[in-house]
Amino acid sequence: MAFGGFFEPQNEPLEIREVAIVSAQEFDALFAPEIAPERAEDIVELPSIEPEEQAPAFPSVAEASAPTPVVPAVVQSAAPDSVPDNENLYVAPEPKPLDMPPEIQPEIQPPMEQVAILAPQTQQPPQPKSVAKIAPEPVQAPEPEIPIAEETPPVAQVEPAPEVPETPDKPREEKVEEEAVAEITPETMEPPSGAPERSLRPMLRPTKNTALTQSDSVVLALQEALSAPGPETATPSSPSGFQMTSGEKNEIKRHLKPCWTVDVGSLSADIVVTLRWKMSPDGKLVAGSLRMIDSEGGDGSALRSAVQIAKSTVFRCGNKMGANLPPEKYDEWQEIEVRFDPSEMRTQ
Amino acid sequence: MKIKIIVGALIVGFVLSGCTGGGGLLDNDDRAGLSGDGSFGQNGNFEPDSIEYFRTSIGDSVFFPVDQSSLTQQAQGILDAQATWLIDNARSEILIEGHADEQGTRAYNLALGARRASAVRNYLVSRGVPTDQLQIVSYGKERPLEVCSQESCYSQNRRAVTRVSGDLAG
Amino acid sequence: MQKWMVLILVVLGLVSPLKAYAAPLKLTLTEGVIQPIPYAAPVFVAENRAAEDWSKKITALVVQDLSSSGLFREVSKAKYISQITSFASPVQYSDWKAINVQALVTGAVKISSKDQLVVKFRSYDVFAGQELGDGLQFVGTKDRWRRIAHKVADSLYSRITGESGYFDSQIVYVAEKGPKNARQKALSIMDADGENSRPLTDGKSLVLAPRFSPNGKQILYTSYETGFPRIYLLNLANNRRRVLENQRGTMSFAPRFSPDGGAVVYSVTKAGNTDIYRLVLGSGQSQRLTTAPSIETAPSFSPDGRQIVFESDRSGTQQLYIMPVAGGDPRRISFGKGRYGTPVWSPRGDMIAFTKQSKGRFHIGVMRFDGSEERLLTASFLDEGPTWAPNGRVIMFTRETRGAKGASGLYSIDVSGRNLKPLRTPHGASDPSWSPLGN
Repeated sequence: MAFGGFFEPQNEPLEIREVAIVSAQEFDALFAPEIAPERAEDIVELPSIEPEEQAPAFPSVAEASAPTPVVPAVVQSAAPDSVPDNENLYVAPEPKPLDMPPEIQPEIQPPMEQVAILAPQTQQPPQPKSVAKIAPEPVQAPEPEIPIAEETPPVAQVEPAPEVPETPDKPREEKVEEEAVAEITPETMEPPSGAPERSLRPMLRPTKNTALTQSDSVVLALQEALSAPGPETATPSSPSGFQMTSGEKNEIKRHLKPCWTVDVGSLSADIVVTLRWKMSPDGKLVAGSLRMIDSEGGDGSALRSAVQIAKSTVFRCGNKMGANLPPEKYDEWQEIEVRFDPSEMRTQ
Repeated sequence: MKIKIIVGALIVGFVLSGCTGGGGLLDNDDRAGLSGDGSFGQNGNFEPDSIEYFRTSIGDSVFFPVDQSSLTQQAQGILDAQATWLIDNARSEILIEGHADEQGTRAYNLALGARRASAVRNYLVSRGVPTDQLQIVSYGKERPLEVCSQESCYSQNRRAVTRVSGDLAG
Repeated sequence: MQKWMVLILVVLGLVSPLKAYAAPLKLTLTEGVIQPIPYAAPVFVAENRAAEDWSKKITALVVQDLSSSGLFREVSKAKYISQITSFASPVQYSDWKAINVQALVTGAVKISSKDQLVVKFRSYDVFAGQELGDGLQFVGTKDRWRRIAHKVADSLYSRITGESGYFDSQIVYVAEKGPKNARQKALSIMDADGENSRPLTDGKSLVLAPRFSPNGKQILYTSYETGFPRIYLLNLANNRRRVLENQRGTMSFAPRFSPDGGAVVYSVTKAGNTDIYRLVLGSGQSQRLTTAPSIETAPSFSPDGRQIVFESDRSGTQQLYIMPVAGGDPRRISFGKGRYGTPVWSPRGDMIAFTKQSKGRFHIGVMRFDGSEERLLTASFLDEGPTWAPNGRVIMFTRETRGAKGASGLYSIDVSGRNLKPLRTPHGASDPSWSPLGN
């Protein structure tokens, strides 16, 4: 009963050529915490996700022609996916075809051109200060063909108290209520208008020079005046009537939950990520507004992974969530900040 | 006269058949020691100074409670007899094998088997067996005698076997 | 006149009540879902005819690796809206979003003029609408096709999860034949997916618990070829071995490498007492690290090489202890009900895997290295001897079944406790040890 036999020599090392055109900086930039606005075309409205029929385990191996032996797998039954709802789908513009040489050299050209297409349109407007009285967030340059709702709150009359992302949910909710009491008056409610004719937005993009000229400020004031609340918004808003109830907040979480796929065995499951984004009045994620506010508990590739997972949650479920938000409380949810904390899931 | 010859022949035949092996004299170094059930020899058939006698009449194995390396009264009795025999029939090499049952992890059971063998060794030394004749080895849980996964088998596997040189047939 | 109007409007604009800046709605999400990421891997494009079969085999193995991890779920090719017919064409993200593919892999294979495989791939984050990392290309001889596919799968795994993979790696283990009371064992080595198993020893002597060196080129193991358990070092390149400890009257076993490969911690039994020693391979000098009359065994280094974790029964039952290699008092880290053994420090440094016995059952478990957050991942008649995948996410271990017909086999499980799977081996198998990632 001898096992003995001929022993093969050890394999020589494998030749690997890593060929990429994206520089290290660019690669890192792909995963850097989002301060810059997203590229508009790619991150627009997404179909909402519903359960779908479950795919069988190893379907591809069954289809593969190669007779590779298959280790029978006990694959965790996945929560099924959706039949996408395409009605809300904004169609992104087609990326230009890549300019590839006919013969493929050992060099691989990733779709750099795709990035190049996007670049001109993602200008970064600066943060104008109080003179223009625009909310201190980056203003996304719009895509010409994508109608974007009037999003910018005209004026910040009173700076809200500095937000501390780490504070637990309850105190924050109370704080929001307080602020609402302090600041919302009937006249300050802006009409949620989605009309594309309001092409005032481009004019809200000042140059990097934050000092506005007099004519600029006139223009801005004109816009504000024109966008001043009309009769339809002069609804008396007693603050308590328009606050989000805890039930409504739980609804938001309930809609986000199925898209937040936590990888519990991963280092990214130790990391808390806080994201913030804006919603249009008709309940859609505003392109380019999603960004990371804070993180805790890790760095490097684990952090990138946690951020990517959290963002993916918003991309995939943001609109379904938005469709269920009470329109009359738009002011409460025009901007949403979610702290993704997987710590309770780790021990499942 | 004829009867005597026949009986003698039978006895010789019996002894010879015993020596050539039905009950399992093993050739492989690694095979476990026998527990000596006397299936192929009665007390009277083996020479008192033979290894078979040691194995079957005196008993080459002692058994341990779960997780223990302490010697029970019964074990001590057997070891007393072993000691006497070993002193009377001096051998150059005596190897004590320690074993454990399967209810434990591999390395720990190796160490536990070593403890058991060592306990036997120490006892034999205390009964006068010369120290330098005695070596110990542990097989941990690798060489069970009985293969069922119950206490009736486990108790047989938790053992130390005293192997006398010449006992390990090559 | 215009200016007057403008001025009035400005005044009106400035004095009219202005919309307040509303704070964002803040929520904390603590509950998500745990499910595999849906991905698509259309068959890699064969760039010449000779590559057609290869591209199918390679794609299929990439898919098998990714899907077997339990973290990914392939979206069936029957659902594809777009087809990938050229590696150069841009990706229609909307087509993949529509079938809920979150990660997309495209690739191409050709046979070069030197008759070698040239495999390249790109990966995409579909819902973010961008490429995930750089494209890569691998070149190798045809007999290395499995390693190439494993490397592609590792690259994808790391781009999507942010952690390194483990598919291009090997397992050294003990192959077993025969009944429980006459078991023959031989050292063997195979790919991490169970393929290409080959023996390293001839099965004539009992061998136990082989362990890979940090550079993947040597194996430490225990062998009875001298009649006593002793630790040996085997060189994989030429299959030569040498004994590391051979003192009369002692036994040695349970060896493990230090993270720099220069030293070995192991157990030595002298006069019936088992303690932990450290041997410097270059000089051959050994040093005793524990001196208690109890059993100290199964030592394992931390990834920074400064500490070891080991099992000891000094408290009366087997428990886990941590000790600085340089010396110092061991600190107990296991406190649950039961016995703890075979501790192995994760390559990530954060956790220790172990075997626990409790109420007649065996479990593979993990805990943080301070002993907190103990979790049991498995339960059976006899599970033992965990080993970590190179990325610290997956654990492989031995499972033995009970009774006269009982046999040993290898299983793997994700550190989260999910995706328990058997590994198919040509014979019975035990004592696995996972290599580092192939280079």
